[in-house]
Amino acid sequence: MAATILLIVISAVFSQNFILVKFLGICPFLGVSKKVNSALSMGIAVTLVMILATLVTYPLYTYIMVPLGIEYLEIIFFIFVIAALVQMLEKIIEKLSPALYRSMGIYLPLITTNCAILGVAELLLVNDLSQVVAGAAEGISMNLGFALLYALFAGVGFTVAMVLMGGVREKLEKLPVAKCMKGFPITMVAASFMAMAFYVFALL
Amino acid sequence: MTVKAFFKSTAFKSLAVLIAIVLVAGALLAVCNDLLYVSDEERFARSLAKIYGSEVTATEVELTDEERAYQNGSVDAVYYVEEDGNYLFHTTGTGGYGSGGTVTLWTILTCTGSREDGDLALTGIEKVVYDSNSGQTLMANFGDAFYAVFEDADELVAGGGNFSATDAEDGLFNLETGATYTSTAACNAVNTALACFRTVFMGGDA
Amino acid sequence: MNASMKKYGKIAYDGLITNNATFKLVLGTCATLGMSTSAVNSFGMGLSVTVVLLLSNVIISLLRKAIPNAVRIPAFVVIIATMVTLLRMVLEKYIPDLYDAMGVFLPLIVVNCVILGRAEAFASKQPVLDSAVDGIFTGLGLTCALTLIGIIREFLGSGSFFGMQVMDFKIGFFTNAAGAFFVYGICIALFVFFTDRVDRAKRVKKAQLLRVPAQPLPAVEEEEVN
Repeated sequence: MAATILLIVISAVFSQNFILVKFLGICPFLGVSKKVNSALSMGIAVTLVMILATLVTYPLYTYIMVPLGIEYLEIIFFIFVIAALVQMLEKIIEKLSPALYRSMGIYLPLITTNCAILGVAELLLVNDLSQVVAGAAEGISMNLGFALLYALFAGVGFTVAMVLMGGVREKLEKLPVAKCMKGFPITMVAASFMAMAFYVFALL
Repeated sequence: MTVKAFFKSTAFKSLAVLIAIVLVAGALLAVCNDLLYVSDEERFARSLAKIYGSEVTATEVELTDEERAYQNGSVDAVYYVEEDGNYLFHTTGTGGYGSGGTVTLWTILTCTGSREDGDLALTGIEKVVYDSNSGQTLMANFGDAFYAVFEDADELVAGGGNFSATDAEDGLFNLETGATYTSTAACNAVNTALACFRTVFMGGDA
Repeated sequence: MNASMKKYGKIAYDGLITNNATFKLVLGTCATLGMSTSAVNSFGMGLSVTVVLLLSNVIISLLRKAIPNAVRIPAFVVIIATMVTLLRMVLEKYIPDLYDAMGVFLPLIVVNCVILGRAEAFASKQPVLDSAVDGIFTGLGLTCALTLIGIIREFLGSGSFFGMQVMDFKIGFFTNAAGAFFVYGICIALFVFFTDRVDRAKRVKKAQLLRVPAQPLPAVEEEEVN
């Protein structure tokens, strides 16, 4: 059991990192990673929404949609759930802490169309844990606990990649770069080197 | 706000349009889902076609629980392929890496004669296709060369022999270097198919 | 007729080059990176996005007067999600190989920024035919870009072209995640480099054209002298 949990953590954060290995959530990775601070805020916001979204979509799919035989409506349902959650979260944060809202809230509307959230909700719709977590023994069936754990650490992995990229880009800003490589191209190449580093975890 | 004013407000109109769109979309998808539904039989036919390389008609052969369990593995299912009279075995071999590690394979056995006439004879293995495993981290190392050993051993198969990853005395040696346990489980999966065919289908002793 | 041809030509040129979704706007990056391991997959992904883009553009354009502004975005999202679900059913039934290859990236077409972006910026304001043309050409621009990346990665990564083995070499880097970022980055840089060149050449040409009538007299005089 402990080994399974450890495997989920390592897989979600490093060897199957959402951004650098699975290519989910690339838009904010390129758009909101100019500074470490904003990257961190975005990462935390995404993690929060990921956990909440999984908490709603997984039971919704397993206990309501499958028994009713309406699995084919999953895309519409999930995107609605995510949009509603993001909207609610935005209102709650605005009420509770205006300071937090100023630092994090502005990223929330962007999250609705973030592939990482819908991606985690869709990825977790499997019967067997080994279909999501590479290297896990077969026969461990998926449940809400594992799903939430995976969502949490997928978010952590997302945040790690965002913050690392923020640091790299803060330095990149000051370097002389060929004109046509400025902006996205050089960021992509930097991401390529980071992906190489993360690839090593998949070999372990 | 009166009821009448509410029905004329933008809020009501917005809500009504949104609900209408959702209902139409849901109805459309429900109809299309019925039209385009992929049944389990169709899914199975597809995976069969992938193994065979062409579409075939297969019927499952009924087996009792005793006929499924063997010393080093179990038979999940057997299909009789009508096009060429061969049998397709879906078997799991035990003895893999770790506790309870297994390898599951598809094995196509070629034969002559028919079961009804009682003159069924095993002539060889046409194809072995990997299906799944449990706990075998080195499974990715197993390439075509490993499975080809099974497919090129017609004489041994027809003569009642088996495969082994550890002891050439037990049968034809087939080992992926560095993955002895996984090789054993794979050999056991094929041996289980052979044993089942020999005892249940040919009615003799393996 | 000529005027409308010109208009559609401009929409097409915008979609293919000026506002190329993949290279210029850098939208829909997840699908681009994730599906470009082979040319066939990236071509399939590009066509799938094109189909969804075309259908959603047409439907949104048809409904543009009926949808109130306040619920615009949710309405668009429902329409796009419906189209993606339809596409998913069709692919699962008729092209199961592509369906398997696309995996989680198939439902993720819903959150592909290109589609919602075109719905918001173009289809919700323009007539049906224009929106259809816009959908097709934005989609084709994306398909070409994706297929190009797919061809490069497949060739360098496994020495094959659309699944056919042409050369016997393998550079594992290009089939990996790192290779995807690298090839995409270099492709954007080259695209920017060449379109900038073309733009500058055009500007120079325009400036020359403008200058010619500005000084017609000396030219005429010169001719007379000759």
